Amino acid sequence: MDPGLDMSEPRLPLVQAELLRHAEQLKGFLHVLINDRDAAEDCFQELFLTVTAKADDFTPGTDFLAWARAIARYKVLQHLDRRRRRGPMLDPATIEILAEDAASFGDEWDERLAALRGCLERLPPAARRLVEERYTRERLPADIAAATGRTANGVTVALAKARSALEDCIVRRMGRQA
Amino acid sequence: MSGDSGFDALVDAYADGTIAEADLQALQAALRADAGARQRFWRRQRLHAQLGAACRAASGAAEARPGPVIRPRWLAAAAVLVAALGAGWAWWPAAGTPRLDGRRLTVGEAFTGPAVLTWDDGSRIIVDAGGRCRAGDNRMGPALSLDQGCLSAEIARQARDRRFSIATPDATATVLGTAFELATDGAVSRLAVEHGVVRLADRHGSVEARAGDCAATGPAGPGLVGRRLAVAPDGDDGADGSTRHPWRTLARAAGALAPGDCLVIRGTWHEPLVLRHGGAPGLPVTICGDDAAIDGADELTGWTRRPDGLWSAPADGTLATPGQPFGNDQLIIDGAPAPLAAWPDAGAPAARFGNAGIPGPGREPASTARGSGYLSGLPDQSLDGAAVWWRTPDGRVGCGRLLGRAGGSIEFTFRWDMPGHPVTGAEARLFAAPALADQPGEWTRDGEGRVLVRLADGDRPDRHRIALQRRRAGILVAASSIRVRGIDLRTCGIQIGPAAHDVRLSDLVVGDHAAGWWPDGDTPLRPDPVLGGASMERIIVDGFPWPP
Repeated sequence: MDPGLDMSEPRLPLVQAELLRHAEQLKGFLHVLINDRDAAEDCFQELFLTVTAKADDFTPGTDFLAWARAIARYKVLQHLDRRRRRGPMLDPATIEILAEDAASFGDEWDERLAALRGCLERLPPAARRLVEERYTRERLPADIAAATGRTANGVTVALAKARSALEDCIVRRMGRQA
Repeated sequence: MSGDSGFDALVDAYADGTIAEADLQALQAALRADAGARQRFWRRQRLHAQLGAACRAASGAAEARPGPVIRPRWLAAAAVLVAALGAGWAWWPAAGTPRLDGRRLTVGEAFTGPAVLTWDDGSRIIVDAGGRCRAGDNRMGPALSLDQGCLSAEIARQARDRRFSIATPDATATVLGTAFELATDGAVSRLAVEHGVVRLADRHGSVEARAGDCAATGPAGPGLVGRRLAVAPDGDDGADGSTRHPWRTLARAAGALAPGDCLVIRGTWHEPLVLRHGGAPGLPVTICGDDAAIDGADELTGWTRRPDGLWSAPADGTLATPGQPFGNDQLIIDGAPAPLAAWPDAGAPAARFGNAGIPGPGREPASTARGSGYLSGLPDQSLDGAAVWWRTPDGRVGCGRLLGRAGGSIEFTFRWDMPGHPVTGAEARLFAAPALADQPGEWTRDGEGRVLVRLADGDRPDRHRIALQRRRAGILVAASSIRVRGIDLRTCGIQIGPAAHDVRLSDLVVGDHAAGWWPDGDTPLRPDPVLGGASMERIIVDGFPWPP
């Protein structure tokens, strides 16, 4: 504890500012574990409420992200207890182990996101539209296939190619920036 | 598929909700046991999460979020609802889906009649009792799927870029509406009907023209002009080409066309349609597909197995362009383009030149230069026949042919007028040497032009349809006043000659037209499925509307 720090000063403004600054990373953390965008958004709202309520437990100068992720981890497990996502899910024990390994997950988050945005612009038009169908409109490959007259396997293969191309592009761009 | 790319495919299937139970168990076991697997899981899932964030932001959905997230939950929920209503967020059912009892259905939602469906454009479908249906999105495909039973439909006039269709298990019913062209020079009027029925009348009389018909006024009154012709794989080039006695080859049919004619094509064709005889203003030549497809690839036969495990088949000729030693050939396996044998494999970290140089520069733009460079991790096998590709740090590409190697050092030739010259730090890839075909599905050619394919252990070519692209253009238009519609083009595109004008294309489906991609994976060798000028409506390329 820093003897120079006035412990009577409310932590809420600091915690809220830190939460705002790390909002996208925390949402990404939740999305990875819950594997459902809508559920991750709900979970983030619950995380906000809990972090706000526990603001005085946070020690300024320590790692906010690690503290918030620890709370987020419990929120994920609570969410899994309450309701099951449609479709297959990793079991809670595996998710707990994954959550412990998230230390480097947020590294270069903003830089990677910026690189990804540039890489999306360079995708061929057909691949770009496929990615938009999957991630903006949240359509799964079978739905995209049904809507376009393609086979589900064809859509899956095309998505895999687009994702790999984007990964390669991000690596190249991050490498050039390095 | 390499180990990492196989693991990525598992994670992708998990993210897409398509992972099988057995694969989920395998994924869980790997994640619990291996820290490396967990790191890779985080990296791949991070990509999914960031794709969601980036795409939503690009679509404006993120901007619709109501300010900072630091609000009580009920306020945030209310603001989300307002923003969703205002911005039309993606999670609301799409506007191309029907309503049932006032509620908008989601794509794929199943229901059983009796039911009355309505669309925003006023279209209405009544599904009989017991009829089983699934909702679609008429902006991207069938508006409805009728799996069993009966329905009746009243369909409103559709926008120019949209067709209303209903799919059954074995067919698709598409509402065409009415579309026609009318031309006059003040003395004679000409009518060409694309869809529907149109009557042309003057003081002498009238005539009704249907889809594909042309009609014109004359001294004795309006009458139909031109012939209705047909060509089918079971036809006869010695026949009269009528719908009852069709021709057998596209060449025979195309050579007989005259202004006002309508040629109906049926079946799948492995020859191009070359149109050198066109129509006249107001009397176009019309080509209509009737369950027709033109395939630019021909199936390969005569496979033998080599000692190195590759399967080999004769394949005379190539579409490769000089100066692009690895490009423009395209092999299709079971309907999907096969990847060219390469190092590094797809998904592996990029290789970069060390100590790159140009020991023997060219002196003129068209001359050949000699380059060299070091690549860490080159496979030990012979790389004879390999093509070399590189991309400089500032994004300029080049390619050449391998001359030889000593360990990780390679020497190669390239044209001096390549946009990018080999430099230290350039990303590099090797292609096409048979030894590089080490993953199932990869292919290349040997020095004698034979096609070589790597299949999985125990697999055989006769269990697949393996075809080589032979024709880049399935339809070549070298005349004017031509209409083409209703044809599928597979592994080929369309080329419009510079002298051709008044060419209109509609209701075409093009797939896998591109003759490959540059090795960076994001630059097509042949970006446009339609080369040349033409009016286009309702063209679908690789599943999406074209032009974009």
